[in-house]
Amino acid sequence: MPDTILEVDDLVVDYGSGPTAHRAVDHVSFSVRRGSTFAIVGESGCGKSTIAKAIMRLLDPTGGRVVLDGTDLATLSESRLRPLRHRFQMVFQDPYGSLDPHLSARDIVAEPLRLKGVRSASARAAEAARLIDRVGLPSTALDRRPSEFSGGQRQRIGIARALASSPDLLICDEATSALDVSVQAQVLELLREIQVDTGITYVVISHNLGVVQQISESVLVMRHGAVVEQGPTAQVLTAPAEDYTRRLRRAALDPATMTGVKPRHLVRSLSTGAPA
Amino acid sequence: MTTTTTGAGSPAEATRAGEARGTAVTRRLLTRSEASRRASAARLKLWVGAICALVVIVPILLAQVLPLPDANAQDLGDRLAPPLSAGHLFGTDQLGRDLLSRVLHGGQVSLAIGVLAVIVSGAIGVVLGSIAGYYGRWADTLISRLLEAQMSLPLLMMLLLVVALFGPSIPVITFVIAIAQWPEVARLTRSLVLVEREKPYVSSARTLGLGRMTILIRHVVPNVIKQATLVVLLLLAQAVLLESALSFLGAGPQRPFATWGRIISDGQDYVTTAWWMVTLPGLFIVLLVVGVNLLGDALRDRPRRTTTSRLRGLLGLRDKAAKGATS
Amino acid sequence: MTDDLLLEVDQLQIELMTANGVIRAVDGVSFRIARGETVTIIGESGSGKSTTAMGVLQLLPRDLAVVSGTVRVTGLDVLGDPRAIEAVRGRTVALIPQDPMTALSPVRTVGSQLGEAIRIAGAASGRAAVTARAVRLLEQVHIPDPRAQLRKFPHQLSGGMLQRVLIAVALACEPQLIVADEPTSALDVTVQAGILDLLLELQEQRGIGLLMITHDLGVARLVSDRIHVMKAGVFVESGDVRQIVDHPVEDYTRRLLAAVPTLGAWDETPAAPAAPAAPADREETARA
Repeated sequence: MPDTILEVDDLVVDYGSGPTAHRAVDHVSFSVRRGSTFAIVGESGCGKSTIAKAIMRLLDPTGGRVVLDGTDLATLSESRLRPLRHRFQMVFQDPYGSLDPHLSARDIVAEPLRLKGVRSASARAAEAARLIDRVGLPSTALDRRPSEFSGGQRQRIGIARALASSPDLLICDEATSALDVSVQAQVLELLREIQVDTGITYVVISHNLGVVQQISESVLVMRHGAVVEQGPTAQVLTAPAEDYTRRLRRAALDPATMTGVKPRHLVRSLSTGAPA
Repeated sequence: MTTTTTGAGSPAEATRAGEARGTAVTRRLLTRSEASRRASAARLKLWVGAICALVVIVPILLAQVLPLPDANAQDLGDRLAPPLSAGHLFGTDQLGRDLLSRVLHGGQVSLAIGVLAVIVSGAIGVVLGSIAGYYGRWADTLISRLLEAQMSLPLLMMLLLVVALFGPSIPVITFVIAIAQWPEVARLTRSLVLVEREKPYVSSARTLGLGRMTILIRHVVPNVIKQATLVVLLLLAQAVLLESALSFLGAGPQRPFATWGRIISDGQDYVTTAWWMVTLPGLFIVLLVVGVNLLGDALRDRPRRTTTSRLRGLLGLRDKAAKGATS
Repeated sequence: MTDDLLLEVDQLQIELMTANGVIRAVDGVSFRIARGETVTIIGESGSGKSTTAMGVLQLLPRDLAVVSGTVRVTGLDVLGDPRAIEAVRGRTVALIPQDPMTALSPVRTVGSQLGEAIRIAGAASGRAAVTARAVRLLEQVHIPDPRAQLRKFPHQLSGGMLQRVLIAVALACEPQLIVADEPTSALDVTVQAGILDLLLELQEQRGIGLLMITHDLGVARLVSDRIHVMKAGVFVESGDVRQIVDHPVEDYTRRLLAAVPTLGAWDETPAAPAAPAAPADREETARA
């Protein structure tokens, strides 16, 4: 078995309890190989963001295991979890809400450093400067506040902050969904470079099949909290086995492969049956 | 977008294209625009509010150094002198005491009580409000019910009761007014914290393993404090009014402190004959309250970058609605 | 043919009077839409595309935006006379707004709001006739069990259903031109396909002209006859849809197209039914 860094085993997440409980994640299992990029794809309500939160222990799973390098994160108490948290970090979807508005970029990026034990303020500042530079922002950015940055720049700051902990695993929860397509391309390229340099593992949550195709080696397709299909990205996206995956694939409009003017046939088959 | 500020130079791109077409924005349209109106309204409020408040506050602060007769010096030969009489700008009361001096010295006490009360209520309100908002559950239940219980009590009755029990000293009155006002600060802070709590930067702090209190103090409170303190400013006016009401009813600080309420109360019997004894202190209160409220409004309205948020709403330029965002 | 022109925009300029000065959001754009045509304005955030659509419909507040240039809807000049737009807006030209979840009043039923649109358009009057028309409209947008949906409130419907309702509202006045402002940006991708199919179907059946605003190149490629690429208030490149996507001329257009992650070809033939799961790459079978 190739080196597995993350193993999710029979994960269950319920919101609420009793008869009105809603099962957001329904017995999901997958493994992520160290140094690779694993994608989880699906539409709204499929549970992919809930899985991300469960792995990050931003919520407590109802059942199952989340094993990071041999340690089950799902059931650890917060005090036992704390010293491990630096090993798995997250980049959030919303560039406009994921950075503390009253802090400077330097403070935002340096905060994890303090927890990592970097005591001296000057050492933290130097490391923050290095990280800001690594994500492609100028040093003038250090003293500015989030409101002075564009969406793409804020995501870069978010990435720098996540990297400050030197994590082994980075979860990207729709990290580029709110960005313009050209900015998205730049951020994806940045992530790719970082992976080449550091060997970090990515779990990418996305609804965009193109993004998934471009950056992941394995993919998990989800619907209504359950796994539909999983496997190597190239295979799942070019030769989908399940009907739902085929629907997703057909609905993904790729301008490069379309021919003719107003090729309605591409979408007509998707709207037969009860419309959503 | 290309920006052409009136008077400033425009970027090359815009100039090239825009040269062929002049601007259609006339001076008239500009002055009528929502942005200008809002800016001038805010400016007006700021100035009027500041002037009203300062007209009251500055003389009060300088009461000691101004050439005024002693506030308690009686001059029975010069009783009930009208305003603008020799040596008495505001006239005198029934015991010949200079009214202006009494109003200014009394104002020192009233204002001091008001400021102190507001600081205490602000501190209590922000602390309890943020705890209720962030921790939720039993902390929120406890604090919210306490807050609601207190707000449902008739305010003045409650204050009179406390003063009757503990005596009308300055510390008691300050404390009592602070207790009266903390619920409003707490309620606002709680709402603000509830909103901030759901934002991703709070989740981001949690992924670092920070404790809840740490996140609250380091990340949440600094982002709500500015809005919360604006409310506190508005409460200063209310505090001064409360103190005046207490003094008027005889429950205020006793002699020798003659606060505004007491002065007005003393002048009750002479309303028809010596109108200045009630009216002029009253005018001071009005100026202070109106001034502080206008200032608070102006400060609250000013920082908002009108058009950006308005535009975003109009054009649906919200942070791009991402599909699959709610899973 | 000028007779066929539903919309003629010439040197449209939109200036916004903001707290930071006057911003020229749209700096002289020109385009035309004829019957049965879909013209798409594509651009990234801040390009001015939504402002253009809102400006054409004169939905920007007068104390914020100054619109100049020429806009003619079915030959009628709507910019010259401030009241001219009311003759065409909601009659000849209709709008499909961006976010279906917030475009309808949450405190009124779908039927009540659709009914209002029908009454204003003068398409029917009297309760029975309005309801009948509303049901017909919902059928035309392929909403199942229309009578039941009329009694529902917006929050009880999914995003896709709501967008269909909004399309029905737009159709209530039998418009000749529809302005669709990012109609699918807030929807899931499979739902989006249904909506786009509906728009194409309506165009085929009725010859409606469509002004589509989007940031999504896939959507643009699917629904357009012509594309205008917008950046910083101006059209950087304009042309036939195939030419823009397959043979872009301008650098900006090329970079935009290059940035779209490609999916490539795939095997469209359905999988063999009831095939046993290959053990190597299936670790979890889908729940029934």
